[in-house]
Amino acid sequence: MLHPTTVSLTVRARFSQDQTAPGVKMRLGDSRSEHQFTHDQEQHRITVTADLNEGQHTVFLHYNSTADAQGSVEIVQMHIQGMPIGRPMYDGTYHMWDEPNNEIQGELNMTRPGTWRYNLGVPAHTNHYGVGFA
Amino acid sequence: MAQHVWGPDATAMVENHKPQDALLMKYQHNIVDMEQALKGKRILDIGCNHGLWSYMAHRHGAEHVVGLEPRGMFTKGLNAFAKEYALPMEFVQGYDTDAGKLIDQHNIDTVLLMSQESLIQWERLMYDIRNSRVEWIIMQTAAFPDEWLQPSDELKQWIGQHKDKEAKGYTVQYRVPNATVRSGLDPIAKGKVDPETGYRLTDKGQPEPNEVSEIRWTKSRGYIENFLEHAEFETVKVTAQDEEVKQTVGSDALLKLMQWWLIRNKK
Repeated sequence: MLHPTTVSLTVRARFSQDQTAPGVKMRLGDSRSEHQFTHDQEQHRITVTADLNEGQHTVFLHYNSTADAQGSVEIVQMHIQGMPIGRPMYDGTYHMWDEPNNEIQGELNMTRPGTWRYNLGVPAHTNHYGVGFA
Repeated sequence: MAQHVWGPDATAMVENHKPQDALLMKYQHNIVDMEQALKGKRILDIGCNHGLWSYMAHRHGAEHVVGLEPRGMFTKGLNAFAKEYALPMEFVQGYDTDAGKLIDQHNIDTVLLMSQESLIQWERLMYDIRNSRVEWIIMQTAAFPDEWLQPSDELKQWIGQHKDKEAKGYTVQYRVPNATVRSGLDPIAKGKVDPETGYRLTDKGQPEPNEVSEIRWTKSRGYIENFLEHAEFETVKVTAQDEEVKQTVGSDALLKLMQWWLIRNKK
């Protein structure tokens, strides 16, 4: 059985006037979404919905790996099926592209291009507290 | 309803929603089996969360339902839902300590009290209800069997200082590390949480990342029985969980600890 699962990440960009605006791509299963920031302190909620089989899946947020990517992006909130999950979002792991072996758990501020990932149990309402009708 | 509470992100979830077995079990025991205390009654659902049981109480004949919940994201969404469909339901953002006032204001007949006994000052709330106009309490508990705790000889001796004394139940206090969901109920943390989500926040407005523990008080079945008897409630029926469930996020139903009570407030 497939379980439609929607995850949103609210992401804020920070960069100075002489830096290039960062962009982000999000993936869950076969679904993708992306956003290019245009101004400092811009906050954007990026969302993906995927039909997933029961089991463990991973949500990925990539800080775009372009040659001139600058500034930083910070994850400020995570929603699963519309429910803000609170502290468990610190269970995610971030690594910079140029330091693939340096995995940092609990870091929500992506200061250089890299990937943040979060393990998601499906169906979400039986695996994550507070999500859906449980 | 889900979309009112959780917004557009809930759309895909509800299009293909299949209730898990633990949810159906709660529906059977809290709603279907309790119709005598719901039909034609004015209900207060204390700690109504996503409002599903408030709504089910309405669907099973309640005249009016008031939901009480500290998290604004739920009360706002549920009030919008009730308004859009002109349902006899309203949701109040507040705490269990507001229950007495709401019972009076809304002429409440029945209190719905699901899984609250380890989270709040349950005894104080039960005294408030005892002294109110409420006739019925529908209560769901997750209490452990008394046999799980064996009193030491010293404790038996101390309790036995009077020959009529005997242990009739236990409350176990413990800390839950990294708690977030119920921070808003903690009298110490109440002022430091996001009023919409109930999550304890950092100065930057993000969920507190460091260990934030909360105190809970899990009770034994004997404790609850003893307290209800002491407070002169009449237990009309109590049903212990006999269903095995697999699909649940918590351990209470997995361990078959759930009980459902229909209690009459004798006057």
